[in-house]
Amino acid sequence: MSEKKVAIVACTGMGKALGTVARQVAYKVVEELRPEKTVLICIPSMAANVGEYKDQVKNYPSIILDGCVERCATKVISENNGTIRGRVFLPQLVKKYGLKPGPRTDIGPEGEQLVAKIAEEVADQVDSLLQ
Amino acid sequence: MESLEFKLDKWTFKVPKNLLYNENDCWAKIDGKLATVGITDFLQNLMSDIVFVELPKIGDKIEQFDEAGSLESIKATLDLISPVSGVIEEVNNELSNTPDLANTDPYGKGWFLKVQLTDFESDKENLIGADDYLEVMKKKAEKEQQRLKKG
Amino acid sequence: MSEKKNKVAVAVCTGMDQALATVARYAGYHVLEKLRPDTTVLLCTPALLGGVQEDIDFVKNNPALIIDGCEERCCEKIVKNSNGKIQGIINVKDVLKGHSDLQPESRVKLGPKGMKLAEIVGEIAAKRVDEILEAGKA
Repeated sequence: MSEKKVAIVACTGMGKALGTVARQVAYKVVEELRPEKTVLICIPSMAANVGEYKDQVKNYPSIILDGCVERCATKVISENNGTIRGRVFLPQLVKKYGLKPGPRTDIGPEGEQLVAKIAEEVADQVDSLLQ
Repeated sequence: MESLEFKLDKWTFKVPKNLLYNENDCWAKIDGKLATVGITDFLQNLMSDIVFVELPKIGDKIEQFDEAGSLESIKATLDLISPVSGVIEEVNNELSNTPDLANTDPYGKGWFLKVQLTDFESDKENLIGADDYLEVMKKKAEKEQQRLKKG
Repeated sequence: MSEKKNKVAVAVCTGMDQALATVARYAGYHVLEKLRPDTTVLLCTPALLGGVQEDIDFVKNNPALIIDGCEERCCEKIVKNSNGKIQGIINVKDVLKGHSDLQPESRVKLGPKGMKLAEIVGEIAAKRVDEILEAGKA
């Protein structure tokens, strides 16, 4: 497996605000914080055999962002022979940071702060994995 | 565990037949002088992902309707209203590490307390069976659905 | 599906790659929360992939409306694989062709034009929901 990049996998679930938060965290890590070191995985595209996502998940270690107890992103990556090297369970981080997002359509200022904090954690994990 | 079920849209809420319930969405399983207490499937769904559980101490005395701990989710913080009176014999410490057990297995591994009963003869007058709790729960579920639609 | 259904399962692409996937997401919320709260249930596409039984059962037993973001039609494929009964498909890319002035800003933040596009997609979806349920009564 190539260790040169890390695959960032967000659950992108629709039902809860933390699905929206997970999505925003993934974008922040991949676009702003660690653009050279990460690839963004699109779970629906991967499931539909579109793009290079299946290969990327096999070739790069994954950090999963799960938004709820169902842990769908973890299950999907495991089923696609991905190697999970980091798992972020967002509900626990809500407690850790004391920041509660607004509704799923507008996570609000606390939600944005939560995105920023989780994204920093994930960026640090990326650095650790690529050392 | 045989359960009654209530379907609302894509959700199915389970109400095991062998438990007793209070109207605060807590259940009690009675085994002689010991009661195991937890929250219902409906309540865990309503709360969404539970991120923190605070439990009473072993040896604490509680009365029926007392607050016997609390649970916090990303949506709300709620007190656990004890369905029974007695002395706390055991608490589920697993919930400290994995609070979402209360979501994934509310009637099994997500139990909260075990209570040595002191006045069950009185307590049971204020508890309801699965059929009655199902009706209570249906009304609450429909009310919650209406509340969400209003935004 | 002989039993009369009174709700439509709305399945949205939830893709990460393109802004039009974000448009699809907000269109789904618009239909469920604002336009047709009584006649729609929002499915979670990742939950279908993650084996969440309530989503899998609902899509098998109720008519489904797809809101896909692009020509890859990932949501349509996923719902078909989940034995969903697809009764309508809306593609955001096709809607954008008729509203080319409403390009979203980015996949992270749609901006006012992107949100307007999402509302238009939502309105199209809402009408389709009505048609699906009306056809089911016949």
